[in-house]
Amino acid sequence: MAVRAAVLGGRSLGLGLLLLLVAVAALEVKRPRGVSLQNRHFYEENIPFTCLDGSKTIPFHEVNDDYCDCRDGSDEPGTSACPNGSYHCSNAGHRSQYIPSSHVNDGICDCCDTTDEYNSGATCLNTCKEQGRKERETLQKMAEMAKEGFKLKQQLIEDAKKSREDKQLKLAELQKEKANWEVQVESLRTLKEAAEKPEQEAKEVHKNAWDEVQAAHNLEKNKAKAAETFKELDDNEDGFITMNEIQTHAELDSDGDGVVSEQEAETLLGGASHVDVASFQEVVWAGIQDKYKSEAVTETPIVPVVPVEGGADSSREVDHEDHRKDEDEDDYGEGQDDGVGDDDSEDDGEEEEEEEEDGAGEDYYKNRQSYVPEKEGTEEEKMPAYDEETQMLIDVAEKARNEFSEAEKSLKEVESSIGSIEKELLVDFGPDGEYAYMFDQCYEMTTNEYVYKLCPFNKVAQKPKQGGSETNLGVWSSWAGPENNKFSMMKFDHGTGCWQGPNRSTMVKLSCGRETMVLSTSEPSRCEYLMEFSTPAFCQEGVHDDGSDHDEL
Amino acid sequence: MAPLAGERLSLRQILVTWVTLYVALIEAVDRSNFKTCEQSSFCKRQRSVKPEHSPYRALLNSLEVTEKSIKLQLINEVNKVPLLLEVYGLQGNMTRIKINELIPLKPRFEVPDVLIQDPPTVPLTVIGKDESSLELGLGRDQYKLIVTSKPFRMDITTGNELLLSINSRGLMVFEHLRKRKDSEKKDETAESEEVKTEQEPGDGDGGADSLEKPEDTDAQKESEEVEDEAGMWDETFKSHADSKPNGPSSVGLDFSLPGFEHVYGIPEHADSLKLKTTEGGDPYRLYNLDVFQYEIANPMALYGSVPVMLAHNARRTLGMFWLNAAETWVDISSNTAGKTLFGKMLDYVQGANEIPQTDVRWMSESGIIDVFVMLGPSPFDVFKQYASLTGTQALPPLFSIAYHQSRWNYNDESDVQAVDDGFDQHDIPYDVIWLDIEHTDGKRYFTWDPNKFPSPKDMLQNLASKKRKMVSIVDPHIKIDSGYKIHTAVQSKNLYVKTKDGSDYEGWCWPGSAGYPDFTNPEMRSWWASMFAYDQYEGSMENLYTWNDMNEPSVFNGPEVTMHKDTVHMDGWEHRDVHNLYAFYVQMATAEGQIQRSGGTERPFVLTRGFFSGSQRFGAVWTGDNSAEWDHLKISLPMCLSMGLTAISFCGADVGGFFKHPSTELLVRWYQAGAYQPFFRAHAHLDTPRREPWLFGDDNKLLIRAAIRQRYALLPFWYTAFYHAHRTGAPVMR
Repeated sequence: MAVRAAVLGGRSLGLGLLLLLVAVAALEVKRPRGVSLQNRHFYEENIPFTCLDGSKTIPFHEVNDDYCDCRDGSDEPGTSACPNGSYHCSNAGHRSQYIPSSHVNDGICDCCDTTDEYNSGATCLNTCKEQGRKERETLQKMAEMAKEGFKLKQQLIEDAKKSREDKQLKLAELQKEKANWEVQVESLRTLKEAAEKPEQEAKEVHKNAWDEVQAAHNLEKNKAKAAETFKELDDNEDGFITMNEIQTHAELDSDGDGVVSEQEAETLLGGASHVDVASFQEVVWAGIQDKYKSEAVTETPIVPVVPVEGGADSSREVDHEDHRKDEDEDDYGEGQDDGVGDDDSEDDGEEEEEEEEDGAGEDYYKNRQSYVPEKEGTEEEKMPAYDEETQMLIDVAEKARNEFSEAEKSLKEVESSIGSIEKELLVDFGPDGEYAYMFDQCYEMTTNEYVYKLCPFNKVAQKPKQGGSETNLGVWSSWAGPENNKFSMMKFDHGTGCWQGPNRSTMVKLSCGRETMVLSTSEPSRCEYLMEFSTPAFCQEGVHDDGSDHDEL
Repeated sequence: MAPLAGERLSLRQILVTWVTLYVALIEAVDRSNFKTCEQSSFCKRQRSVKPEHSPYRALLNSLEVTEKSIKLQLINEVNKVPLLLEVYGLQGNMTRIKINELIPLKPRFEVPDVLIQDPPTVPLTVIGKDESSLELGLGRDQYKLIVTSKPFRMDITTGNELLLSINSRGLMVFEHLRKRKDSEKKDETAESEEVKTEQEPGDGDGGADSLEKPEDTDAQKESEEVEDEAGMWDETFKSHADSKPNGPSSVGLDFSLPGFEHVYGIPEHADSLKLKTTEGGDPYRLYNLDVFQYEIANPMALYGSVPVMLAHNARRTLGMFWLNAAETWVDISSNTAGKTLFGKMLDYVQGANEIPQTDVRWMSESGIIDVFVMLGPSPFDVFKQYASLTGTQALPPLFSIAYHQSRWNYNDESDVQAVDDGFDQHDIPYDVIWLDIEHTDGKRYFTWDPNKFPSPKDMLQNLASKKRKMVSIVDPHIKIDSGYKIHTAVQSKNLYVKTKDGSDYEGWCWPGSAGYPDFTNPEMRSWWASMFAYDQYEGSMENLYTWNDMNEPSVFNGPEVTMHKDTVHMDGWEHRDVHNLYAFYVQMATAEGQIQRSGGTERPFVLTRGFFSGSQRFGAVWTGDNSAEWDHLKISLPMCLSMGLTAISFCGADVGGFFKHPSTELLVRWYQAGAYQPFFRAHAHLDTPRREPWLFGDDNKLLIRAAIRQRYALLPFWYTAFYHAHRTGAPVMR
């Protein structure tokens, strides 16, 4: 059983003669050790003590008997008996404070008035006066700063208000402008469509006429070709083509054995044993023209050209292939050019671009493949210019189109201005908009290794001093202070990913200061950054009178 | 342009390699980095010997009885190589059995410094002797040792009870030192031999050896000698070649324990307390290794080795101490293993005449056979017996059995200050804050990063004002840097471990290229110790203590992440011979340094990752780089219990788990478990989020605080338990 001896507050005062004078005033009110003045009335001498949580009542002499009776530790304010108790030191000359009971008589001086070490043998010096003085000086400085800062903040609020009003005015203006443009775009669209209809029709007429001309021309050409072929085939020049004569052209073989048999020849000649020019043109030519190879070496392109295996056409294909190779090499070269001197971090983006380029290149190649022969074949057969009337319609439509797209562009511009203003207006710049001035601003801080860049409402970044790419430490997420002080903390997240870790993120802790500047940066956990950031916008009026315990001063 | 494109490509390749590596890394241990018995040529050779008629015979006529021991010659009837058996009766009911070559080609390594003294002997008495056996009295309690001549075996009995049989299964293999056959023939062309070695790494089949044979005229010798097998004269693992200038040198011996079903000990393995049988798998391996993200429940080697096994049944406990510091494998088999409870019951009902028995087989790559049989009979007798050989747990300074707060890394002085303040604010007791490798100036141990830790003394003073301590890491690998005084001193004193060619061995570790001081050399150890003097270790103070990590030694680019076996230590001993002693010596020298700096008045505190028999004399051990997983929390108990059984009581695991991010519940539970383990330290990997106890909400903070406070409330109990461990060798955790 523990020996219970009440240890009361009125105790040895012989700790430091110099401090005695200060201490005496404070100790006038007698109360158990470790009890604050405010709580004194709970500890009336010789009246049974009720635990502050009401859980138990004990005789007064069991208060501070170094045995923990109350669950809340309130019966042992002056000993270390209770694990969850606290000890109050008056700290005359400085600020009073509560320390955990575990710190009482643990050999370490916690209270500046030394009273927590009354029975541990630790030699503590009373430093309250000195500390108090220092703290008051600091507080004063801070108060001055807060005052100045607060003044600046008023200006900031004023500016923000004005700028916000300006923005709103501008927004209203832009809205009006937008409405105007919308009307205009609509009417121009109608005009454009009206002008395009006759244009389209006229173009159609023109094209149809041309198509007819061309069809006739082709027919003629084909016939001539047939006649020419007939001549070529008619080896004995008797005006008839016989099966024998057809059989000399192995390419006309239809069963794939490489030889034109008699039956095949007969079939080719439409069942007849021989044909004259007219029936060749009408019956036979259509059946053989795709396969037929001229005996003359000259190439006679025909529209449409169907690639034929071997011969002159295949050489053209080789050309294409060569060409394609060239293109690829070009692309590759471009890629390299892009890469030179660029940072690794940009590589990814670039690669994508490259791929796109590659893709585009392929399309281009494909288009070319089908387009080139046609071009070669039809060079001299361009569609004639539009007649004057059609051309006039086209010009009118073109003008309407231009006007329409100009208007549309202007509308888009206005819309985008509205968007960016609206976005800015939506950002929470603090209760009075005092943080608005940081929008679009960046603040840098240089450490031994890195330059840190804080762009409020935008992002945080880190760049090695020795050069190298910038690392994104997070993009603006939200204000993240505690509920009662939301604007004390900024959160940036979804920065560059970490190796074997999360995406980088940064918390920015705000403090009051004259200047807007980054005070410190650190990385308490891998890839989780912490910045301290001072700004007048955070300054409060008279903030340093914040309820600290002055009961003994 | 083209080369640039190439560079880009290679950059991408590197990236791909990294990603692959990364995937490999996060998937726990890469087993292919570590040898199986099959891949360790001596283990393969030893294990391929099956129970049969042993070729060894004891020459009873050679018996020589001295006051300290009896000596007998053994002979291998196949190769006629004579061995010397020495049996010592030791005070305290122990028997020491040593087997060495009678006339070795060159001396074989015998482990120094682990035994605290030459164990005091009791005279043995020859009780009986006939042409086939010899009966020795082991001093007291009717303990007898019976030596049977042919085949050679030994049995220890008491009364008419058989306790332990040696070589009863005939698995003894003692590879004698020999000259390389081909080199004998061609020693006029030493160069060509080197060329050959290079050309045929690990391939001994066919080749020069068999070509040589017909030409060998020494017919007598020829017929006796076993043909060279693959891996006897060189061995390759992954890309690492092990030249073996001394050839095969392994030793192995079997022990049978009738009446014992349960055996324990031989840490360090991430496995159950009761050792498992190893049939059908790999033996337990003892080879100090830095195993990245080790797996639990397997017999793979880990950071430390204690070749001590305890056998225990209801009536008695026996201990075996296999004093060998080379790579060692231990096979365990049992005639009851695999039997179900029902099967055992059936045996019982049917009166099976087979008594349960455990068979153990030790195999080491070099050195001699030197076994201490500790006859108990109680477990506490065995603890005492083992303690009388290798010493007891050093009595830790009180603060060191309190709570330790660590993380890789506390970034700078203000970080340390903030964490220290945090504990006060949250009223959580702690005594020691730790600094991992990032505190140094470029991984140069004994230095401080000038930017992050510009005034270490002020920091230490701040901690001292609260009676708190700090531990800084000091690893044994030394950055090769001509501006680093530790390096230049070790280099100029010629105290680095050497390559087989005689140059300073260089390996890759945290600082990049690094040298490894030869801690087996007492001169090195005493110089190292002197570096802890306050005027040598700048910025150090009385409350700065030490952590020896990476002392297996860890060599990132070495075979199995450790040192090449053919490197050379003091007196020409190969690393092969001394490997498992390296960490032991590092911690020994460090602890000695701390004793010296205080003029012998203060107890040291040194944490080590690698260890060997006897490491208990120098400080604490932790279970290395575990993971934040429930299984790892669970395995920390048998791991520390196993170490405790082999005298290393001051054991703990990283609270929370080193790799990965623990769930809050796991962290809380780990604190609650860790508070009841001897060494109580929270630690975390660099890449994990912060874990200080107050970062998980009030409820969890209070739970963690309660666990730590329980530890503090019980400190007097802990201290007393450590005192008992210090006096008697009894484990603290039990």
